[in-house]
Amino acid sequence: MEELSDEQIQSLLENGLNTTKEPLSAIEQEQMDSYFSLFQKLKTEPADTLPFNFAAEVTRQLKLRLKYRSDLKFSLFSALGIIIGLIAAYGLLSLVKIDAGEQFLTAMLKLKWLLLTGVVILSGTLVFDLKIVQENPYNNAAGMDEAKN
Amino acid sequence: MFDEKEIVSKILRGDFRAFELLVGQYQKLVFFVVNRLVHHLQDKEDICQEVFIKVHLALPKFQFQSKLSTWIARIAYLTTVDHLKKSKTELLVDYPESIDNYHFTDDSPELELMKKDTAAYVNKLIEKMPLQYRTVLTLYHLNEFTCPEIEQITGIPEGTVKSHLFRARRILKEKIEHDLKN
Repeated sequence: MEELSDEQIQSLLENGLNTTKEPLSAIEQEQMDSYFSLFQKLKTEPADTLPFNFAAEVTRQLKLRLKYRSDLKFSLFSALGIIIGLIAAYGLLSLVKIDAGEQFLTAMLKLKWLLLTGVVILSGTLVFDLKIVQENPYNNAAGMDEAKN
Repeated sequence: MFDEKEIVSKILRGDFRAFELLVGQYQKLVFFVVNRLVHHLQDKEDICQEVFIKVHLALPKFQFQSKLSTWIARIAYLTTVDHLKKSKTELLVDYPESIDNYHFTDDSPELELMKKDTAAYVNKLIEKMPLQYRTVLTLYHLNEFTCPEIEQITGIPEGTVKSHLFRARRILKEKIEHDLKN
């Protein structure tokens, strides 16, 4: 049995059934019909679809992620600001009076657990926020079923 | 009329309504790609969502050197392949030696039941094919990309795209002919 070449198949796809210049044999015609039928089936869209509110949901998720990023930046800059502030305060106090600088450092060391707790709470909140943002707010399978109905 | 450049510039200025329009315009394209490569229903929507968030974050780098649809399809393809690699639930390289030797194995009872609805049957057969075949068939026939565009999206050379396409169509045609005669 004579097989259609790749070029003939491609030409069939691009130009349709009735564009071949040379007359086709019965076998070739049968193959042409089979391919044409297959091409139609390959264009069939899937039965599953995305939910009707998909675009709005993506936008909502995006806003949450952007807000998270901006919160993260703010928190990091704040933490950096506080650290720089404390170092600057220690430096200035040491310049004015060495004892004052030492007293400031001692006071800070006494509060080390409070400072550490603050850092842990801040980091924990950020991680928790990220988890909430990344989790899908609703069951996807249910969303798809909804779209189908 | 959907003006790509205007929509993109609006999004870059922080217009979320414009982003929603972009998602609406390309969600079918992204879903077609993801749907054919991922089998688990609940993963599909998550991946589509991730694709569009990546699109938004990468949009400032888009220079209109390719069509926006090709660029989005590439992000969809890479995100899906990345998901498959991470989840390891589906084999990425089904026929590592040579996918040209691929052939359909015996029919499952589920496939037997589907033969009456040819379109659904063809879709089910495609699901069983190697990832490369599924990708090129979807991008070419469903998303209507050209072979050079498929090369841009997947990184598979154009010649290989064409040979995958011809081979995939041929084995599908032969399988359908064989099954419909029996």
